[in-house]
Amino acid sequence: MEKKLLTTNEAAAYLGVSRSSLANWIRQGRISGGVTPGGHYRFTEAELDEFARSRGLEVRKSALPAASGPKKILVVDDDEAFCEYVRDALEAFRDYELREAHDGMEGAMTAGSWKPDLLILDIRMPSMNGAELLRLIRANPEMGGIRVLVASAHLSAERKAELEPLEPDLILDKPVHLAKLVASIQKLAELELA
Amino acid sequence: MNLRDAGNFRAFSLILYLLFSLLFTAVILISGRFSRISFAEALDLNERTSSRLASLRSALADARLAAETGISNSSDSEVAEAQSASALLRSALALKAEAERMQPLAYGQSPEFRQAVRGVEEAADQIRDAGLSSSVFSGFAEAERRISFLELHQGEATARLAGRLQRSYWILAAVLFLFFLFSFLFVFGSFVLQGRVLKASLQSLSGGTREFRNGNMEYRFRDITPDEIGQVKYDFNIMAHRLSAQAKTLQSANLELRDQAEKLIAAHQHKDRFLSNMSHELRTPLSAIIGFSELLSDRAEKLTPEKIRSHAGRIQTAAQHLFDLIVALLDLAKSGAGVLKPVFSDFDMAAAVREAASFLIPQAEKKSLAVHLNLPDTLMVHADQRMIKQIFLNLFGNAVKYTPSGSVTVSLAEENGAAVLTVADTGIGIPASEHRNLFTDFYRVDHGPGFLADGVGIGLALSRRLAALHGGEITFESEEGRGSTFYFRCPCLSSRK
Repeated sequence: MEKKLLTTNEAAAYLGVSRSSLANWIRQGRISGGVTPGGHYRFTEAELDEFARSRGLEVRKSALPAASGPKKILVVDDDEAFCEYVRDALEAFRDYELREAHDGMEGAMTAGSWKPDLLILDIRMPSMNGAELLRLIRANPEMGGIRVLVASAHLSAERKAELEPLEPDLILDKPVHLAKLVASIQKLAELELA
Repeated sequence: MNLRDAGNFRAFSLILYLLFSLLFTAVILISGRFSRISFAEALDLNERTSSRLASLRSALADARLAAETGISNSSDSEVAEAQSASALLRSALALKAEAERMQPLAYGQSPEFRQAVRGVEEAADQIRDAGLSSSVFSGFAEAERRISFLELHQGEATARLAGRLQRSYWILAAVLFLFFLFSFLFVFGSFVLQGRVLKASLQSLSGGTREFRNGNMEYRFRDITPDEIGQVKYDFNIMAHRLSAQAKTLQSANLELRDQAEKLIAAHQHKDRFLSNMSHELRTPLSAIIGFSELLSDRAEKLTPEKIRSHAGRIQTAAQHLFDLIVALLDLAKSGAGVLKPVFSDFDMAAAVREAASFLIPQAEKKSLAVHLNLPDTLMVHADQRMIKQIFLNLFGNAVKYTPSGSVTVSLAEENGAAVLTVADTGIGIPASEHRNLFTDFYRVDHGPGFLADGVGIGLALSRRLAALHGGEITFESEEGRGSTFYFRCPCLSSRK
């Protein structure tokens, strides 16, 4: 089996606990993961299995990111032009599935039912803004494995500070250059070039 | 009754005290007449009276002897008779002189006593006048009777003197007693009175001060008495008046400060919202321009002609959007600086509106809005065509933007010598609280989190200024949730039909 690294969110979902419980255990040194150059924790599946046994927890294989099958990408943005731009940019890859939502509420419903691997999220949208949507997702342990890329034309310092605790994987200011967008999506969704 | 009255009463007591002192002195002075006669003097007086009475009696005896001798010798000789008469006259005069000497002793005695003394004198006169006649004996008898009376009443007179002396002492004692009694009563009374009045005044003063201290800044003393406490109250009132005036000044200054602070905060928030909106409005089309142009250049070989056309179309739309935004911003800046000048020409406003509407009707149709155009065939106006179109596009664009479902109705008509353009929608309307700021530069109506529309708050602000350049005005009626109706009234009908 391929040795796969899980993020903090994925690990929490795998163990069936909340993210904050896992964060506590890390702080208390009960579980030690590797640390990326960016300061994020990464855990191996074997390491988590070992920890689960010692704590009497039951792991959920289903919560693991699908090892195979097309990657699911959801774009939530009220700007139709940006959706089309992402759609065209993704033509560089193979083996993925793309869906679009044009306001926050629609995005939240789609994310909840479809469980995408990568969410490309705008902030300023009708009915529910991106920050609220992200808060809902982070509060749901079922969606621990989801990666989030925020792309917004509306990123003041306050807005960024509001997003920080919700731990988006990446924040990009619009306009987003094609090369940057392609590279970011490839990294976050682990896509392969066509 | 106040402190001053109490003080006056004390002064009055003092004056009374003084009067009593004077009275007392007077009484002593008057009674001094009696007080000069001591008991010893009374005894002396008694003695002198006795000796006087003895002299009187001996003078009477002399006179009687002279008379008896004279009468018995009357036949002897004329010389002897004359000698006898002369002797009687001398003794009668001596008797009168004795009686006159008795007068001072009779002073202060009873009237009967004094009358008796005078009676002796009269008897002496009678004896003198009678001479050696037989009637002289009745004079002797009278004198005898009077002297006997005086002898009889001598003791009584002395006793009377002593009694009068004693009475004057009693009067003196009574006056003294009354004097001290009244002095005591008045002094005691004035002290009690002054104490009470002082206490009451101080209580009223402290009560008022406490009232003021407890926050009743409007409290003032009403009962200003003409005394020292009254002066304190009066000064207190003036002080309280100044204090409350100062408090009011401070309060209004505070309110003004708060007002200013709120205005500053509002201005700051307005600026923040403007920057945020502007950033969004610039970045969104730029995002499309940069993104699609990069797609075009990076993937030129792989793209189909349709794709290329689609991308180019996206770029054009975004660029046009940016251009419109920049033109509107520049117009707003120019109108603010007063350098925006309309270029007047005669044109058909109905045709201009129809043409401009055609740009936005696709957007309305996309939202399934019904658009009604009630336009006359022609309506010639003398105005700046670009500006009139701009105003219409702003009003119509807003109607489409803020109407989720329903209809937008555009009407144009001539009314009272002016062209009136009406744009009515069935949209979300404008909350009454936002009506005031609707035409403020860069102001965006807050429709709550449920409704979000792009824009930077230029359209209405600019439209109103463009309308003003034509001598026209923009008004509106709106109810939240029921839609809005905007009226553009332009008094710019063309003289050429």
